[in-house]
Amino acid sequence: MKQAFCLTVIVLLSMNLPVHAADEPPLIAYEKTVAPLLQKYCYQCHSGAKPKADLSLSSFKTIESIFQHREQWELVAQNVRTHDMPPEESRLQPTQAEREIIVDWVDQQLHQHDSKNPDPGRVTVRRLNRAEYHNTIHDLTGVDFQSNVEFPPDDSGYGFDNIGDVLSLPPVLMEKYLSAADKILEEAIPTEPVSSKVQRFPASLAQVGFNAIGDRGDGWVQLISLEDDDVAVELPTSPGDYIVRVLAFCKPTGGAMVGGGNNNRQATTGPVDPTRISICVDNAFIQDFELTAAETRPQWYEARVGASQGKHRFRVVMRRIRGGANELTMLNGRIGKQQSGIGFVKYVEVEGPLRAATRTYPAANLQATGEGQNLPDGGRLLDHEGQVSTRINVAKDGEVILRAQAYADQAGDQPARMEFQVDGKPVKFFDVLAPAKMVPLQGQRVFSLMLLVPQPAVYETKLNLTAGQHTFSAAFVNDFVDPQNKNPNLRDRNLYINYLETADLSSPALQPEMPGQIKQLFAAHQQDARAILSDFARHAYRRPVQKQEIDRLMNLVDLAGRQGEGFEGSIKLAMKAVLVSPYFLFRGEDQPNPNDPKSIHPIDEISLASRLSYFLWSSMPDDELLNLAERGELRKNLPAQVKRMLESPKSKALVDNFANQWLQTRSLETMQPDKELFPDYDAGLRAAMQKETEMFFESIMREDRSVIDFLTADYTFINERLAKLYGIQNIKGEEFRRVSLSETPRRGVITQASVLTLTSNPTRTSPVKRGKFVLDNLLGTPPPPPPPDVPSLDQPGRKLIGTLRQQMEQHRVDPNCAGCHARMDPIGFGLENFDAIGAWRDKDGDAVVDPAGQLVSGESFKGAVELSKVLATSKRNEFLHCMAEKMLTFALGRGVESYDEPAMAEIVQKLEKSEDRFSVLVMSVVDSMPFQMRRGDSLAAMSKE
Amino acid sequence: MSTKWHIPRRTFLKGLGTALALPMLDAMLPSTRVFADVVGNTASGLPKRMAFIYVPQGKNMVDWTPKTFGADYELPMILQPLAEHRKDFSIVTGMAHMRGLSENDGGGDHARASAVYLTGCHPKKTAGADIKLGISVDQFAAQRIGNQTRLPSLELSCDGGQRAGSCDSGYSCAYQFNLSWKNDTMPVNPEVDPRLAFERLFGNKSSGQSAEARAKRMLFNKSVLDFVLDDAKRLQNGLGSTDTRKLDEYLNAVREIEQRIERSEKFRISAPPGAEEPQMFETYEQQIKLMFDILALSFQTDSTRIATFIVAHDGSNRPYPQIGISDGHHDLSHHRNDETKKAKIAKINHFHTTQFNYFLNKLKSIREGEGNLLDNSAIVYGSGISDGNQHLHTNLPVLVAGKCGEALKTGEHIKVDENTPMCNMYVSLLNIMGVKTDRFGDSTGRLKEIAGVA
Repeated sequence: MKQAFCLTVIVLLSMNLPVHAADEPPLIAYEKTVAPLLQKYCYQCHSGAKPKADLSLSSFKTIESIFQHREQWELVAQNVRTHDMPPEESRLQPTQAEREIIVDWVDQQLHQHDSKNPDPGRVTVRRLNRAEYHNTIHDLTGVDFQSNVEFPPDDSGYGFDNIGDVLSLPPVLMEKYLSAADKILEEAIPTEPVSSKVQRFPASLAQVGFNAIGDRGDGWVQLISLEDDDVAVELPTSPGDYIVRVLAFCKPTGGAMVGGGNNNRQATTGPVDPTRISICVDNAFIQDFELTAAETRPQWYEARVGASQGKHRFRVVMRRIRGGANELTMLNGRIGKQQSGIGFVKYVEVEGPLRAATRTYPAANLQATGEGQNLPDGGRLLDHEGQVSTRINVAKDGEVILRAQAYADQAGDQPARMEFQVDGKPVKFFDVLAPAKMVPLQGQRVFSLMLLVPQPAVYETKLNLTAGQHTFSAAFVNDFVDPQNKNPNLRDRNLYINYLETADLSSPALQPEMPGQIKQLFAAHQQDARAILSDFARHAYRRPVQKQEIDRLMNLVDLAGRQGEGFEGSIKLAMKAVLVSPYFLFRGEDQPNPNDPKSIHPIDEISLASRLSYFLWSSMPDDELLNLAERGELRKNLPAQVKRMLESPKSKALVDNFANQWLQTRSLETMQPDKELFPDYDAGLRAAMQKETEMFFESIMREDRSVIDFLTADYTFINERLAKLYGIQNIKGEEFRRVSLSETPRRGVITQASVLTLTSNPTRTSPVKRGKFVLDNLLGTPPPPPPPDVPSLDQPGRKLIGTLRQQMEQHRVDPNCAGCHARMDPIGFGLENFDAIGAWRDKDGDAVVDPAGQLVSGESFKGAVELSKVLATSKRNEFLHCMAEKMLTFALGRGVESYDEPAMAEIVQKLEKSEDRFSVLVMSVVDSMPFQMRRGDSLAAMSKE
Repeated sequence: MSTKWHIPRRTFLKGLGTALALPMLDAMLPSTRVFADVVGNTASGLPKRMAFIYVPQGKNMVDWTPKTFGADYELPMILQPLAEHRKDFSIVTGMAHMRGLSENDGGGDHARASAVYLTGCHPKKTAGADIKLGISVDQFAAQRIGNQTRLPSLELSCDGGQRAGSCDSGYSCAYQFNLSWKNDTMPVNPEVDPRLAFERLFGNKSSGQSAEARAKRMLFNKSVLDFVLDDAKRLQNGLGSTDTRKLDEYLNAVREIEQRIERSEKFRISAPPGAEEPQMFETYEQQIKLMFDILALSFQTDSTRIATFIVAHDGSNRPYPQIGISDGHHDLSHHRNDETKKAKIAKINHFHTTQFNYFLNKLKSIREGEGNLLDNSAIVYGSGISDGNQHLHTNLPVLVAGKCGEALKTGEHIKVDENTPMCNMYVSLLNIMGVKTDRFGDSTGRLKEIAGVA
């Protein structure tokens, strides 16, 4: 152990630090060489009674005083290094050699001091934040708990919300943890049917379809049928019947569009079709209504639907005109004609589960006769006459609803026919018009995704059955082929059945099933409570558990038993204790000498497993990690494990939690650009912006590209909405796809609409905010905060005139502002061709935009493409360092300190040696000393405040 | 394998969960209890309530401050929505929060404005690791008299914490999004969802259980809490000093919940007829109204007597399209004496007082004893900044509504000496509420000028 430690020191020494002759006592060196330079170039502003930026360089008389103000001196070195100081207006500028003398001395003093005592820092025990709680619960129990809704937002520090020091645990949150544990366990181990409730959703807040324009201001969302616009809510359901209600009215004309755009309303001529609105669950059509209600008298329309356990989308859809031949007619690449009316929807309500034992039987699992084949999605294709059947148990005499979800291929002059039979006797038949996947006719373009997927419908009938066992079958009774038909969609009549469903109206609702993880847990250990709890606690605590711990959990099981709880109810109580235990809620690490800052040691493998999994997955370690760590083999297999973890879909968490905070896209939903100036901006566009940045980040991660691509990539991901915003032609539909930007003036994240919107004011762009964003998040050289008494821009006798840029340039004449604004504003000017939501513009108002700028360090550029090139070349080192700093902060869950400087320098070195690949960034963060090691806390550090 | 992170060694926390605060009142009393001799009640024996309503980045002061003092002042534009209640509130001009000044910490006046507002303390400038402020006046009261109600205090806000990025000029977001502080390091996160706030007051609907089921549930909850307290104690022994403080938060939280469970049994309160669990809101206006409803409900049912409500956080850049203002409020506040911008700010201020008027109406509509709920309350409405352009922390805009029994003077524009600490008023309010203290924050005395007849 001691040896390992010495080795690290040597490695660090040899790798990072230029060796300087440090024979001279530092103070003498300072007085002889550094202080005279500072006096010559800096004291003019930074000394005296009211020094600029509160920094008086002349006041440092001892080396100790310099160490005490370490941060200030790091800033001095950094600003001198980057030519940010002295300001360009200053007549006197140090030579490059003089700059190096200052920088080297500061580096040497501050860091060589460190290198003698390398300090991995320490991480405070850290409460799971909302995202980590969600993912951990999901991996542990299979329950999708909405922690983002149920818990208060986590405070963030250093730009991230996983910082142990900042995450607090007020009583309110503890209370929520208790009720969350109840809710989670109710779903994980259901012991009684879910009670029925009514949930109402304002349409304006629901997920709204592609072309829907959104709330018109008073909560009414308007839907047209061009792309089957819908309003949808996705809900977890337990097996049962639900009522879906919608409050709606219609305007009988004005809904049909010509061309593609929303603004090209077709004037309706001739007779007007009745306007119909449909209720669908997921992709399946349930029922439609003729919308007769006028605006003055909106009405509720409702349909009863069955749902299996899981998540379902309840949708209110304005479908193109269906029924009869329309189902098979393709118009302009879509099914059916457009409706002439417009539907308006204000609320969607879902009530349930109703009192009915609803059971769903996927057709592929059922007994079948006749030729056919089972489909991967659980359905069955009946390509010849035949049927699928299931046994059903009716509890007592009474009403039962029989349902089947089906669709068909058509041929000949009859629609495909499906017959319901009970105990072999026909009870009802249906013409199944719901279309299967359709083939476009020759010469027809396909616009709609609807053609590519089947559009099933649910067919149902209600009848009385006697108590006891019955057989319920659905049969295909009119097979037909017409292989010569010109229309490929009319050659073979087939029936597809997805599932049969029964709802026994005289029985209570069913108890939902356990989610997979818990089912396995119970199955693996049979009726052995002790074994179940040991297994559960080991995963929940992310470490091996002790016998006494299980003993104490078993006490709770016994207590519950004595109070009349059954086996599952008793286990639930013990599991509740696990889910609110500090061992679950906090992540801590074993330390031999927790209060000795000199006790530096590698973290144990169990802790390492959690550091890895919370870094890359924002979740608990999986079995493989935990097993390796318990056997002490994780460190040996680190590269392979990191590779496996990055490849896992769970590493999407890095996009959700790292990328969205690093690039601040999480804040996008709080941005409210002016509706009048930017009518295109709405929830749909905002979501598209965020998705673009997420997909872009994910592509760099998954394809292991160079991180420099964040600055310069000439590709991105867009859908039709974003394509319109970006002025890119021929991108249709909601789907995102990769496009090249080489012919456009956009490169990397700084030209993505998300970042451009985030850094704007509601009514205009803000070059200052954009510049600051780049300095803060891409170059890691944040400008100091503005002075407290910002002087007024309009001083007497001076009126600011001209474009925003001209006004700002006049503002920068003020030397109080110039220093920092000279660093921020030019970067922002380079992006001025993008308006406040990221669309291209040549003019700002009447004035032509001038996108030229010059960094304080001298590089000039014109426009965003050149700016991105400048950042990627002459600021490359700053950028890599910034990436290292941001990712290390996120990985550790603490702010980086000056003693982390060697680790970050090492990460940058490794990146440079390997084409800046993303995986190398991740791997070198994992390999870094602060990630691998830790030290004890210092009692002294606490009183330093 | 040595794992101190989970092996027990010694126990030093004693008697947790047993030494519970003794509630003053008996469980059998109706929800509004009449006891004239109880400290903190009005002369007629009704409980006193205190609430702090926060609105951001000051006011357009010329449209807030009346031109004359005394009772016959003319209502300036921002206060006009409150015209019908002018006899029920006072405007207090002259108070300041001097600890909100920079003190060589540079920028960050929005963070400081909200941090200092109820604490009278200067926040430590830090983006994270070591936030440090001071206890806030509501929590100071809650810790001393909060045991008389089911919830010691209620904290509400319309703004959740920031999603990403950093907050004002190097200050932790905690300073900007929380008004209430339990102690110098622990902010009390406000509830931002009206539905969840309602649940805190009255439990969720499934709580209509039989006495037997409730008793079992309580027993189970207590055993779970005992279990986790035990875990926390074991855990704490292997930890460093900073970690120990984090675990203290956990221990405190668990202890407090134990007390809450006890209290909720003692003061079983259900929502009054007609009060329904709030539905989802669609506009900011609705959200504010729902929050005011909940605040009124919590006072009406005597679920708590102490509350804070952040209508919008300081530094908020929210636009107000509902009144035709599409610029962000914070951007506007740096108006640089542009009259159009100042007019817009006044309009936003006016919007806020319009919402506040809804609250006053609501409180007055609830009869209590001879008068109404407002008569027994002290509602402080204001900001931690006066002029948003210059970030001044002096001459703060402060309105105090309600007489809190007869303890407060209403109906006047009251002048106090310039730069009188806000905390002087807090000391007076604390005394009125029955909290014995001579000092709070940076107070230098009491604020005699606001005292009423009693």
